[in-house]
Amino acid sequence: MIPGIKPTEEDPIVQVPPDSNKRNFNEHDILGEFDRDEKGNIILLQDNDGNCIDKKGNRVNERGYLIDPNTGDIIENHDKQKMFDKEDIDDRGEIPAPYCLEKYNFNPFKMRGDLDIDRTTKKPIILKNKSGQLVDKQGRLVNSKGWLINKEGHIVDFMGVKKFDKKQL
Amino acid sequence: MHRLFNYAGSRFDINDVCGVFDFDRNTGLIKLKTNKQGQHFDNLGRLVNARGYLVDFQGNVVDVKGKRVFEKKYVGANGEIPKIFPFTKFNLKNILGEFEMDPLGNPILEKNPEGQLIDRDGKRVNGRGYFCDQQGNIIDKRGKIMFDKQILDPDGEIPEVFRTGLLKSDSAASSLSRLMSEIERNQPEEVYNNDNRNQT
Repeated sequence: MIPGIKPTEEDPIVQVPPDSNKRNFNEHDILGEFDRDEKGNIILLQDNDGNCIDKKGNRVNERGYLIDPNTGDIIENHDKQKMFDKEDIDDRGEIPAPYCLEKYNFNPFKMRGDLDIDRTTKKPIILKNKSGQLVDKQGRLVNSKGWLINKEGHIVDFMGVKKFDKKQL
Repeated sequence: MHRLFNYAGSRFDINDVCGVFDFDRNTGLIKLKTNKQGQHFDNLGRLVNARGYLVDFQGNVVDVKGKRVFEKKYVGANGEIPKIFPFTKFNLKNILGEFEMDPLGNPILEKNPEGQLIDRDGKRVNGRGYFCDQQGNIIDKRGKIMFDKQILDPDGEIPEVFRTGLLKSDSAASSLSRLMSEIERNQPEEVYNNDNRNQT
């Protein structure tokens, strides 16, 4: 999203293994790609063998979390590294505490568009590109509240990593 | 974006606790202003923590009006605040022991030979009946830490937002919702034509 911006050890794309003290785990780090219904539930798919898969054909569990088909461990969706041992997953496919509770972490400063603030209204001044899309000063797509979005409308950070599905907004 | 809950169960807008900063074009990160004492400030001269959230002099996270949103003890060592949304799921039963309550609503607990509080099943609990480890952290049925000791009240009680019904539990009802959605998606479409309507 921002040319030249690279993840660092202090600020990785995905924290592996997860560290609850850093409060940077987001369930989208381990979720497969899915459409969602009107209630926001993910729409699981199945392969010919009856295994749960996502839209890209990756194996997932009943929660839509990516799994290593050999071990059953939950893996992250960037480099496919293990995030949670199979043994730590409950009988409904949920990840262990405290991540099952704190699974929507995000850094708001990494997700905001580069926008000037209107001195009167105190609201961000959102621009439009030639196609009429809402953009920030750097031409990146934003929503009406100034959050960075991808072309599907999901909220992302400045590295393009999905943080919120548009159905969660 | 939905407004979040603080630990007291009050809602707040994430923008109301964020400082205003310029961005470093090379790293994409916010540019904190720092004085000789190591205190951080935003572009408007307001005190912030290392993550960019507005704070008071005690380190509590506050909103733009100075109202406390998170006590310092609830904020991570790196300054990051908890993110609790209305759609965050939490099931109290996963951390609660088995016991009766007295007329005042206090758990009736026993003690093991070591003098530690236990529930009816002999599992270690704290004074409020929550499963706990040796250090006093609250754990779930699988032994994983759910709440660090430092965020608990002196009597071992968990933050209010988790025990006042504000959050839905990820129970069988939630699974049923997902199942119903799936059934609805897989239902064959009803064929409606004029002939059928005229027959009724």
